[in-house]
Order: sequence, then structure tokens, then C-alpha cells
Amino acid sequence: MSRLGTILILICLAFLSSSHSGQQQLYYSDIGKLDFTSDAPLEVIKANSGKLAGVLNLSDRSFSFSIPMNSFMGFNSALQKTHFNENYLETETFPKSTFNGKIIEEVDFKSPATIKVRAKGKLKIHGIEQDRIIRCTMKINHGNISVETTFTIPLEDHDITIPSIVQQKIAEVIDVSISFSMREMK
Amino acid sequence: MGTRVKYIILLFLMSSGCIVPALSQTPYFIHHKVIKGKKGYRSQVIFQDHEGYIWIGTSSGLILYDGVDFLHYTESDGLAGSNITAIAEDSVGRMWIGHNNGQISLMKGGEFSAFLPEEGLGSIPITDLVFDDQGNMWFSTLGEGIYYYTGERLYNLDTDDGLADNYAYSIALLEKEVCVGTDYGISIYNTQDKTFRHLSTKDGLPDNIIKKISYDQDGNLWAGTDEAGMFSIHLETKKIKYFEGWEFGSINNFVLDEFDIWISTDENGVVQLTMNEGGTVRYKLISSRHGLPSDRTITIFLDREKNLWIGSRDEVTQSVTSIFEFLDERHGLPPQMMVYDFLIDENDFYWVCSNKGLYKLTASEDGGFTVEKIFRGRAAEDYNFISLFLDEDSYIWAGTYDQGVLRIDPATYSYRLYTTREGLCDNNVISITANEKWILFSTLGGGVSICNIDDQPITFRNLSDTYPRLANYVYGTLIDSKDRIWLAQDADRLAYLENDNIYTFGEEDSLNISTVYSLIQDSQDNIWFSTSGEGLYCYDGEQFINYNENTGLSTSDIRSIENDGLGNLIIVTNEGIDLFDPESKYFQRFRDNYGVSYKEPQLNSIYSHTNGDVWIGTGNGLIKYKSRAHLRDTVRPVIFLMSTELLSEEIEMGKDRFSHEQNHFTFRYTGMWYQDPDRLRYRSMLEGYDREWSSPTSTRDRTYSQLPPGNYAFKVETSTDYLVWIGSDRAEYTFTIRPPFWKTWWFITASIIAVLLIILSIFRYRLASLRKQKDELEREVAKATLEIRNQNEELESQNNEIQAQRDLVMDQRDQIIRQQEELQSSIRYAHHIQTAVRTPMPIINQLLPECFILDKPRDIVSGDFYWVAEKEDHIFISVADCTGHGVPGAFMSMLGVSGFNEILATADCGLKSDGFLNNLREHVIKALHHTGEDSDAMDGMDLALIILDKTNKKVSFSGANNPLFMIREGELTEIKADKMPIGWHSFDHKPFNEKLIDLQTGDCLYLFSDGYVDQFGGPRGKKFMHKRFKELLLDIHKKPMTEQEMILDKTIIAWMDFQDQIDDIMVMGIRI
Repeated sequence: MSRLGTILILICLAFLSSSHSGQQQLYYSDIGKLDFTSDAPLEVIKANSGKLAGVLNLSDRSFSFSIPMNSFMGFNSALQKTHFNENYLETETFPKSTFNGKIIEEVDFKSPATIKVRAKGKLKIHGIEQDRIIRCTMKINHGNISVETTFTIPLEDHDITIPSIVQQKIAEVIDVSISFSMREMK
Repeated sequence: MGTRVKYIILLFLMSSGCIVPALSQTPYFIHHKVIKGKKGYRSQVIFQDHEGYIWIGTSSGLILYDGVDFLHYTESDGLAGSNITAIAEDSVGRMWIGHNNGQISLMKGGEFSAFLPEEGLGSIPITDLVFDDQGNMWFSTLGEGIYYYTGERLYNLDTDDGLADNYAYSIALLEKEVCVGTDYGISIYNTQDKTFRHLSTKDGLPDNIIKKISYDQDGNLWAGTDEAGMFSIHLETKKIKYFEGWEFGSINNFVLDEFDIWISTDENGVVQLTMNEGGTVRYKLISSRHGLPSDRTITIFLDREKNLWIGSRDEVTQSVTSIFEFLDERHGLPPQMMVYDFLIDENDFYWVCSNKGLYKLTASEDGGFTVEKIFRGRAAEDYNFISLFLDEDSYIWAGTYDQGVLRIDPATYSYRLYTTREGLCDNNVISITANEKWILFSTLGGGVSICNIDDQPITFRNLSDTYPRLANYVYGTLIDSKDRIWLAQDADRLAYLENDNIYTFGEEDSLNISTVYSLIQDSQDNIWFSTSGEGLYCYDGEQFINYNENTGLSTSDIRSIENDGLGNLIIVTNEGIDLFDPESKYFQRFRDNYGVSYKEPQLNSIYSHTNGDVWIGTGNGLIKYKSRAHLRDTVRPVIFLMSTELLSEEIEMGKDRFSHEQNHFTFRYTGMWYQDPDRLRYRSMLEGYDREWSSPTSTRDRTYSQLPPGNYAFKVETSTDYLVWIGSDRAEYTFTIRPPFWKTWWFITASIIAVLLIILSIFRYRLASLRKQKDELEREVAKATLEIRNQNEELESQNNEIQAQRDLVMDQRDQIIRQQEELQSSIRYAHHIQTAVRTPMPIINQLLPECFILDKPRDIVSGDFYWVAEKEDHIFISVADCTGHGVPGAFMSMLGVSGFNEILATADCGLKSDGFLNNLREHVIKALHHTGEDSDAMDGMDLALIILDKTNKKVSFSGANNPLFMIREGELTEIKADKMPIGWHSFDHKPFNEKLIDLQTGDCLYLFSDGYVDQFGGPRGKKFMHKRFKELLLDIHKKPMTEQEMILDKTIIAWMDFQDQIDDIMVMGIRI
């Protein structure tokens, strides 16, 4: 049997099984933590938010995450936070940042394990969407899935412009660190 | 029909003895065991980088091959894995290696490292890796679709993005389109609008599983499939070109050559797909039966020299270009088939005449041949066929040994035999040539027979009959473009026939030959011929040019020559095949590496096909030379410097200036020539040091030590034939060794300048010093001058005064002189008077016969006097020394004399000397009025007085300070005087004493003043002294008195020498 034929059969089986089950297996998180750091020559800015929320569909490995941009706390001053929201991220216009996509690797979500996977999707910040692949460490443990990841965001990719006067105080590339746990959505 | 079934049928047919099917010609293989001592690995991908190195990716590491060495790299060398599945090179020369574990390695600067993008890599095998014009890297995976890396970000494109299938085998790039071969057809991704479109069996593709895709130069996309073989498609028009007849299973890889496609298959070795002019395609199978190690050929690659590289299990097989193919017993020909001649008829049947008979080869659909022996079972079966010719009527002429020549109908195999009975000059027909009218048969023994094709029946005319000078052994003939018939004859002359005239060339034309074997004419109408032992000649119509071992020919034993249709000469020898370019004089030699050495090529067994192929008959089958393939073989060896080392440490890139101590260099270089790497030779030269190129060598490094400072350029060249040397910019290294600072021009210049400055400074200092001195001197001089001037003035004034004084003095002098003269005159008169008052000498001589008186006054007149008188038979003798000398002394002497006279005359002192002196003293005191006061002049006299009684021989002596010497019998006695003068003295005036002395005859008495003994002189300027005076008297007392006087005079004169006489001198001597 040709390879193509084999694949077709598998697809059919998958369709049947999903039809039979009647629903997709979804995990969610609404208290995910996101920390970001701007490490510039003249200033280091740190902020975080605990309102990262998202859903993972185990059946097709697709996911969708978002975070309200005005939920970040920290900064070095209230003014800085104000500038962050009003001037740089324009959070009134772009209230949320999202990341939607699919895990590239085939993952056996039934078996407890700590695995490295890559999340491929579209990262949208400040209204600009970029295709990204983000490496994650996923820990599967009996109904609980926790994910940790670190990656960078070049501000230029998302049309976030920094005035030249403060260029020494705001990094061109922001370090982001995310961690969250997911449980099954009943 | 399956391949296996076909084999069974062929085997049956073989057993029937009828026809023998065979496979295609075989290229020549070199087998590389790329990993020594290891088995079970698979050679999965082969790549050639821009420098020419061959990279082989295996399941057990990465191999780098430079034609000489295989370098093996694994994970221990930094690779991200040992199973290599893809290799590519980016625009800056970095190698990228894809692995079976989904990782990618990067080689930069000779070091391997894992490629670690932020996005991470999967664990799915990477199947292909390419770079687009923008420098983006694209790679395909087995299960995750494709990725592309921009240099900053890694992106994935899979089925979710529109890729047909995530199992992607191959990527091909063309401008803005990325084609991906997948399990579900071809996906074409437009990088601009970022959309996919697909082609599958629905669109006419013969197979959906596309294992390999590649673009050709015309922009057609070629694809190798899993089951349907090859096809090509023009993406714009979607026009698909199918190639029917594929029966070789799954394609693993393929390479596009100019005329062929070489395909590696999973089960059937390598398939050569050749497209014919009519658009049909022909497959030729190359399998393990032809020398491949396995029929499972995993990958295939064509390098820039057009060598084929076939990857399989446990080795990489290199096919050294496809220039040559072989047709021999592997293809069904009889073993050890000695091929004497060969031709291809118009139906593409191959005719082979050999020691095994006459054969006909028919090409089969699978690219092989069926081999058929002609005349089987017939009389001609055993004929020794040695020559072939195809005439214009498509008949095959076959010459034989000793059986004449046959004219064969190729369709029916019927034939007509011609022998000497039919007029053929000889039955050994070794060569047959023809033009439109004539067929010429060259024979061994009869010369050449000619027949007219159109004649019926055919009649032969023998050239030897008309031209008896021609040789009977003729190896071949050539009809040139001017219809001249050239004969390759066994003679020392080359001959040709033109317009029924024979022309020959020999020694007079600088042609030193014994036999001509082969003749051809090139495209420039030059006639080329090979000889027996004299090499190759070229006749351009005017002169003969010889080519032998000295001029590049590998050997003079030439078996055949032919044109290759591209302007080159093919020269066949037993050592191999040379391709000679008459323009560049370049010999390209094909030897063992091509499998063409020592094949026992037969004399003149060479056939040039209209398609450019040249067939060469050997001792075992045939060699086909594919001239068209060689047309593409213009790649020359590449030479470049691998590294430059300074004291065994590699020099960093860009450094080309060194100090004088850094003078030990090693240059390592290599040449790329995969066809025959052993043939490469190198020569090098260090400009600025070497005078000429080094001798050719196979070593790939050169060391120079103790290089002196200077500018250098190291160059290395390579050659395959010792004639044409190939260099490149990458085979040169220019560098400078700086001289030590003390030898640099600036230091020398600075030193010279410094020395000059020092000299100048010294000079200036000296000058200033001298000037200062000069100024000082001038000041001094001026001062002195002033002083002198003043002094001069003073002197002048003094001079005037002196002159005045001088004048005065002169006057005074004159006056003094006058006075002196007057005085002198007075004195002389005074002397005269003084002398007058003394006792005259005659009287003295009378009284004293033996006596002398030495009288030497200091001045004219003397203060010393003598007095001699007689009275009463006594002689009175006195020598006196008055105080002073000169005039005052003379006055005193006058007083003394007068006193003596008066006393003698008047005084009653008897004849006693003391009384005399007493009276004389009183006389003098009275005469001088001495009172004893200090103011009185102390004038007086010292004297000695003797009164000589000659009768009684007695003498009475008294002396006033002056003694008396008496010498008797050589003994001197001094009779001392009283210490008082005649005159006033401080002592009491005691009376003088008298000493009475008895005399004997011969006694000498001496009376003297103190002038003689007080005279200064002698060597030390001392006084004469009494002692010396006594010794003198003792010496002379016996001499005559006159002589004694003379001696005394000379002695005192000699004593005085230049001393002045200080006092009056008087000495009186008396002998009794």
C-alpha cells in the first residue's frame, strides 16, 4: 500500500474517533503569569501580569492565548506605566495581545512527561501580527499541564516605536518569560 | 513487464544459443571506502562546495574529500548529530548540515557547532537544505513540512499553512517560488504573497510522491517520483513532459547533465536517462553487475568535473566522467574478444569484427544490446575478419586475413566474396576506405586495390601495377579533401596519389620514418600520420612537424589516431588515450583512472561515428569515447592555498606583515581534480626569494625558513601533464617581512640626519666658540695693541731719550776713550818707569845665573815687584806683592823698591832679613803716614826676602805673609812667613822673624806673590792653590830655570783659560 493510502486511512480513523467522542479535549488557564524585562543601557524596566489566559485543544494541539495589555504591574514609576500604556503599546487601541497557533510536535497528552515542544502561531501585539515559533517546556502530569517558556520580542516587529530621546532607556528587544498551568475544561 | 520477468526470458533465449541479450556499456568506477574500518554506514548525501571539496554525508558522520584524503567528522567534532541527511553552503562559504535527528550543524572557519535558533528545531529528519538568493535557508522535513530561516527568525510552513503534506522530500528554488516535493505532489510557495499552490496527480503528475525536484537551466522543474520515474513540468504553462518506460522503481535522487539524467534508484542501481533527438528517451541501467557495490543507490551527485558520485552502503562510487564507456564480455561479447574493426550502420546496428568472428550488436529497449554472431553455421563463420566498411549502398564490406573481402547484405547476411581470383591484389585486407567513386582496399602483401562502386561486376585495379615503387604492405589509405590518396605504407617514404601521379616525402623533407601506420586529415586540412617509433607527424602542406616523447607525446607506439570532431586528435596507445589540442599543444591524458590503460588497442581499430562518439577496438571488447561529453569537460584542476603557517601555527586571516624574527613559513595547498587526483603535480615559487619555479612534485606543502626581510609573494600552480600549469588568485599569498628597525629606511635616514645634526651642532658650537675666542682675541689684541701703542709711544719717547743719552754716552765714551788712551799712555810710561827702577835682568843673571822671574802683571803696571841687590857678597832677593794692582800697586812697588834701596843703603840691619823687613815696614808706614786710625788706607805689601850667602851657602829668610819654598832632592819645604804685612796692620808691630837655612847645591828656592796661587781657572773655576803650585814646582824643579819659567807661564795661562787674571803674578825661582 502506498504511503498516501496509509495516511488517508489514518485521517479517516481520526475523524471517526473524534466524531464518536463528540467533543474536543480542551485545557485552559486564566491565571497565567507573564514577565517582561527591558534591559537598556540606562535603565532596566520590569513588569508582569498574572492575567494570561488561554486554551489548548489536545486533539489537534491548537491553542489560543491572550493577555490584557493594561494588566501589567511593576515599572519603575507610575509615569513609566502611563507611557507604556498610552504611548508605546497604545493599550486603548490595542487592548489585548494574542498568540494563536498549533503545537508542531505530536504530543502524547496522556502520558506524564516533561517535554520540549514548539508552539507555532501568530503573535499579535500592538495590532501587528507575526508568525512565531516559540519553544516551550511542557509538563504533563495527570490532568494538569504546565508550560514554561522564554522568548524575545523585537519591538520593531510589532511597530512599537521608541522615541530617540529614550532609546537608551528602553531596549529594542524585550525578554519575555511565561509560565502557566492548565487544567481540563469541563 | 517487470524487470525480473524480462531477465528470465533473456536467460531462456541465452540458453537457446540464438541471441544473447546484454546490458548497456559500463562506465569506469572508482570505489571509495570513505570511512575506513567501518561497515554498515550509508552514504546519503553528496555535495561539492565552492572551493571544490566533496562533502559526503553518511549515517555515521560527515566526510570531507579533497581528492587525496578523507577527513571524518562526527559529534565529537561538534556536529549536532552523526546521521547526515542534507548539506548546503551559504553565500559566505559556511557549510550547513542537516541531520536525521532534526538538528542542523553549522561549519564556520573549520569549526562545527550546532545551529540553535531561538525557536528551536524539531526532531524530525531533515531531508533537504537549500539557500535562496536572499540568503534565507530553507529546509524540508519528514513530518513537519518545511522551514525557512531569515537569519533572525525561523519560520515553519506546514499543511496548516497550505503545504500539501508535511512529509517533504525536496526543495527547489526559482526566483520567488519555492517548490516542495511532498507525499502529496508538488507545493509551490510564493514568497511574496505567501501563498501555496499545488500540483498533484489531479493535475496530471504521474505520481504524487515526489522524492526529488530540481530546476534545469531553462526553468523546467524536473521531478523524480516514487513509482513513475521522471517527469518535467513547466510551472507557468503546467506543461508536463512524461518519460515512458520507467521500470526501475523508486527514485532516490537524480542529477541533470547536459544530455543525460543520472538517477539513483532504491532497487535498480543507477539509471542513465538519455533523451534522443526525436524526443524519445532511452534508459541505460548501471547496476551491481557493472561494478556498483549495490543496486540500492541512495544518492547521486555530479561534480563540476562531470564525475558521477554514487552513494550507497559502505562506500561512495565515483564514475570518472562519462567520457568512456566499455563494451566487453560483461555485455555478452565473447571473452577476450580482440576487436579489429567496428562500425555502426544506418540502422544503429553495431558491427564488430574480431578474432572471434563477425558480430552484430542490436540495441534493446532497456538500453542493452543483443549480441549476434554473423554467419553462424556458415563457411564464413570462421573467417578472420579484420576490417569493416559501410558503402553508400549500405552494404558491409568485411576484410579478412587470407580470405579476401566480403560484401555483406546487412539485412539478409548474404554476401559476395572477392579474392585475388577476382583481381584483388591480396587476400589480407587490413583496411577499407572509399569516396564517392572509389573503394580502396589496403592489403598486407599486395599493396592497394581500387574498385569503382558503380562497376558491375566489380573489377579491381592494383596500384602496385601502375606504381611499382609503392610498398606492398599498406596499413591504410586516406582520401583527403582534395581527393588525394595518401598511403600508410611500410616504407621510409610517405606517398600520395594525385591526378595519377605519385608524390613521396622522405629524408630530403626532414621526414625520418620507416613505416606509416595511420593517416587522418583534420578540419584545417592538415594531414596527420603515426609512424613506427618516430611518433606523430603533421603535414600542413609545407612542412612536417614531429611530435614525440620530447614534445609531450606519452609514447611513440601509437595504435590509432582519429579526430574527435571538436578539433582534437585522439591518440590511442596501450598506455591510454591522449587527447591532443593542436592549437594549445595541450595533451590531456586518460589512463587507469578512466580504465583505458593497457587494453591492448588494435592497430587502426578506431571508428568515428557521426554523433561524435569514437569507438576503439581493444584486446577485450570496445571502448567508446563520448566526444560530446568531453566537450563539457572544460573544467581544469583548481588550486588553492589551504593554510599558511608561521612556525607551525596557522596565520590569522588578513595578516600579511611580519617582524624580521617571524621568518619561518609553511604553505599548504591542494588541487582539486577528482578524475585523476594522483596525476596532479604542483610547482611553487616564492617571488622575492626563488629565482624560478620548483620542480614538479606531488607534495602539497612547502616550507621556507630564515627568510630575510623583504616583500614576497608565494605562488603555487598545478598541472596534470607538466605542460600547462594552472594557478589562481586563491593560490597566492603576498606578505612582507619587515626589517629590524635598525635596518629600516626611516631609522637609517633618521640616524644619518641625527649624525648630521650632531656634526652640525658640533660645528656650530665650535664655530661659536671660535668666534667667541676670536672676539676675545680681538679684544685682547686691541687691548694689547693699545698697550703696545702706548708702550711704543713710551718706548719712542724713551728711545728718544736713550738716543739723547746715547749721544751723551757716545760723547762720554769718546771722552773716556780719549782719557783711557791718555791713561793707557800714562800707564805705559809708568810701566816703563817701573821697569826702569827694577834691577835689570842682566845684573840679576849675573848675580844669579840660574834663576827666572815670571812677571805677569794684571794690568800694564804691576803691584808685584822683585828686588835684587848685592851687598857684601850677599845677594838680597825679594818678591813683593803690594796692595792693589795696576797703578796703585805700581806706586806701592815704587815705594817698596825705593824702600829696599834706601834700607840697603842706609840701614844698619846687618845681613839679617828680619831687620830688613822691620826697617822696610817703618819706611812704608812713614812714607804712607799711617797712624793706625780707621780712616788710613791699609796699604802695604806682602813679601818674601832672602839674603843669600853664596859663600857659606846659607840663606836668611823673612817673610811678610809670603812664604819661601825650597826644594831639595825632590822634597819641597815651605818656610813660613810672619803673618803681617809690610805696612800698618791691626796686630802689634812685632819684629819680623829670621829663618836661617843651609843651602846645598841644587837647592831651588822659590819666592812668589799670591797672584799665581789665587788665580781662578781650571775645569771648575777654582783657585790654583798652594798644593797644586807645590806639585808643579816639584814636577819642574829639576828643569832648567828658563824652562821652568816657560812651564809656569803656560800652566797658569792654561789654568786661566777664559778666566780673567785677577791679580799680578810674580814667581821667582833660584837654583843654588
